[in-house]
Amino acid sequence: MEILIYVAFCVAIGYYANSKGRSPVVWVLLAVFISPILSGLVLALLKDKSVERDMSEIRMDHQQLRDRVATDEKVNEMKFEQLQTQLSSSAQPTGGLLDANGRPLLDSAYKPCPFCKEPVKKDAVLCMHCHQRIAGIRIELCPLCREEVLSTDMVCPHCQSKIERPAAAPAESGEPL
Amino acid sequence: MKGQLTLKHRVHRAKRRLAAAVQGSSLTLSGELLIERQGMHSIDNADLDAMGIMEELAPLGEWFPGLRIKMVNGLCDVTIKLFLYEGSIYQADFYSAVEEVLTRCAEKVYAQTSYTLRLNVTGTIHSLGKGESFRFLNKESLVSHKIFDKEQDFCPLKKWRGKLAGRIMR
Repeated sequence: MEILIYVAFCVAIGYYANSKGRSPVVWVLLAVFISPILSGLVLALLKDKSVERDMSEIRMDHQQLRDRVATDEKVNEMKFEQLQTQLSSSAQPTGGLLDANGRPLLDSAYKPCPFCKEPVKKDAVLCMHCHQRIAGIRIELCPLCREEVLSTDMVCPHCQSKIERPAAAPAESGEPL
Repeated sequence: MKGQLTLKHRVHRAKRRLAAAVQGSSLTLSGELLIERQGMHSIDNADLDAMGIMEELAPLGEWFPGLRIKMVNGLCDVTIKLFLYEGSIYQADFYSAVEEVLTRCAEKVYAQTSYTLRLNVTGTIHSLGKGESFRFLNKESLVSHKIFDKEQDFCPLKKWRGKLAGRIMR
């Protein structure tokens, strides 16, 4: 009878150890070989591992959730950058006019006005935006400062240097208005 | 799984646990394997069964007693969560063994078209007065680990403990 009570105490210690997140087998053996009361007291003084385990699980879950959000953000940023690159490569350089195939109109029937840079028809004599006469006027580079000048300019508006032009090169006469 | 264990396996497991106790080795591990399908489609259960991820992860449960493996079904994804708190381990080649298992899982996922895997397993391993924090990550079916933190504890008997653990496992 006494042995049975002793064994029951030892088993109870095992259950108690299990509830505290410790190995039940080890604590039952300790209770059998030392004393159930002594091992129970020691067990009561030890930290509750199950609470620590739950806290650790929550903390690590939280960390993983943050990692996942950070990864998602990174992936979204990369996708957005790719999209922006695609958009910028497909966008036309000036104006914004596209033909039926989505190609910039400047490549086909349009050219930029040398004065206001707005797209105008290639054969246009007068710019529809700034009303300057543009027939026969081209944009060239100043031989000294390499800035843009008009083909009719004799003095560079940027560096004030004289631009030498061949005498036998009269400007193309535009069609009469 | 437990019913299939032979006596030899049980003895080996007991020896491993004893060696881990002598070494003072413990492992805390938390991780997730996020399986997604391209184009916001829900995951097909038949595809998941065909992958056999849980079967591939079974060796981890055998090596690390107490490891919890849980599958959570989301709207457009499936997450397999792993968690172990201060489990006693004796795995001499821990990193390569885990890496091998996770690589096999990744290969199974990428064998199915339009499925992707995002792997994030972190943890800390303490053994013979050394503590290491590690992380396993994947790039498609390639899995690798990185040790991002190391700490040294005072352990005067580490040589003796290491030798004894080795002798137990011999």
